[in-house]
Amino acid sequence: MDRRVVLQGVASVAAATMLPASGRAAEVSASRRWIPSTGAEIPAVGIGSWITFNVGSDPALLDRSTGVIAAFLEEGGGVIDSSPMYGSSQATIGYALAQLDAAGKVFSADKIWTSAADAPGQLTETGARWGTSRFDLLQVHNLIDWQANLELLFALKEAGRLGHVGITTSHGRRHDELERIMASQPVDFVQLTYNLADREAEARLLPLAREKGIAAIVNRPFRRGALIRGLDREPLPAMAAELGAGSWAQLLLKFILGHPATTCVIPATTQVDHVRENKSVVRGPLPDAAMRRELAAYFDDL
Amino acid sequence: MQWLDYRLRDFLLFAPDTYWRLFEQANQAVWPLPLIVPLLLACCLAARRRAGAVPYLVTGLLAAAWAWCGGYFVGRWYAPVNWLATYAVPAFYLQALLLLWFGMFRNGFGGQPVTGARRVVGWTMTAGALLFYPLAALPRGQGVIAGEFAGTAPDPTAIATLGLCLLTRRLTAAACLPIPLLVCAASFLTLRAMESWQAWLLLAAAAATLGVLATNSRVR
Repeated sequence: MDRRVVLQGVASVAAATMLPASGRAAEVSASRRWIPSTGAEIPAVGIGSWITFNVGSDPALLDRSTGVIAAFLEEGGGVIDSSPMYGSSQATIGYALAQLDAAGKVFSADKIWTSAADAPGQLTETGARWGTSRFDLLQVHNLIDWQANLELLFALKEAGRLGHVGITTSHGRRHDELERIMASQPVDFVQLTYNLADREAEARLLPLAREKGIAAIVNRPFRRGALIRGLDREPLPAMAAELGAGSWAQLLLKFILGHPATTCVIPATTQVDHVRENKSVVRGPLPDAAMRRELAAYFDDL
Repeated sequence: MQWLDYRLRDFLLFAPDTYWRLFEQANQAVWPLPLIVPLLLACCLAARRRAGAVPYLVTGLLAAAWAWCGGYFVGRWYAPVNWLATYAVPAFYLQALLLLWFGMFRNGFGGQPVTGARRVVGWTMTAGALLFYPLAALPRGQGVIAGEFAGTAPDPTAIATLGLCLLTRRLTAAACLPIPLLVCAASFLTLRAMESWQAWLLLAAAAATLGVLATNSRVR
């Protein structure tokens, strides 16, 4: 094994040395990571629900989604992320969790996607769709009315009705404002877009997340599949074999999870075999900083 | 202007297979009701020269079709996967009211027949939407029961309405054009985001309608 390869379990040692004195390790292993603010531990690969679980009341597609979540649980479970913006995705997750009797077996993450005045009603509806009254994480979606909505979420957390508070953005937008919020607000989580093609978060947001002890959830790891489709005909770089990545999808996830600030990545899928493939990336080694730079350069040259 | 950075696909809330299966689900739930509007409209149009009440019947059927399409398909089936569609439902009801007004107070789709390109385009769009549009489900590997039927699905309903508007000389028929044209525009964008060839049918229908009206000054 190449000395540059960060082995499973060894990552924590390297990462811990880079943390501020007051901070806990951002990750304990390649497959499970700490949430710095509370010390809770979650699997590094979660699952998103944008588009894939928005299936309405179609029984066949509801059952397909249930199969995906069943496989996700078999592979260790973890963060399931949704939003009121995602159509019927919340209801699909609630349906699947009820079918699998697994309501308390996932790290439930959802969002407020409305003004503060309407937020309490939306949260009630969100809980009803999931079939839960307490979420592990609630986030302010795309910074909407973030000051008042964060106040509401902090109050819920203080009252013991919520595990963690977060804020989200996507598509690399409003990073300046997000940075100000991360610097000034005691959020537990930040959710942002980061992948081989969208690396802006490397400059300030991810280092700030490490510095402030904010867990980072990475969305759009495949740019909604476009990255995989675009790379499908390109040869994998030599380091893929070294990392045990058999596909571009696995290499893309390893690139994200190799960043020491990444707590969790949430690829969305409709296919059971893709869930298993995504989950398997943390069983092998992850790239260190030098390999990640090399991979980014390889990608940029394509 | 960060909105300009978004791609059309970024606004799509659902997967194509979910969208196409909506028609199958909606049709199955009330089968064979989706067949009735296209068949009745086709029969009325075939008998248009034999009965004076046909223009009123056509307009009334079309009004019922828009109301059913908005309330049943858009509101009941489409809105759960596309919350934007919730806001479109009132437009379908408004179109139904406009058609009722057109039928009751402006004698509906009657009067002197149109001629030339306008006649060809009008009949092509009407017949295509009523009889052939549902067959577009077949290349997707679905059965006819998953087809988009005029009166249930928005796109053929809009195209048939545009076609019928072209087949009348009445100037007031223009009041019935904006909403079907907007439906064509919205569906074109949705289907383009889904990379479906059917997007071009919507664009062609809207372009043909506007083109014929722009070049034909004999709208009476």
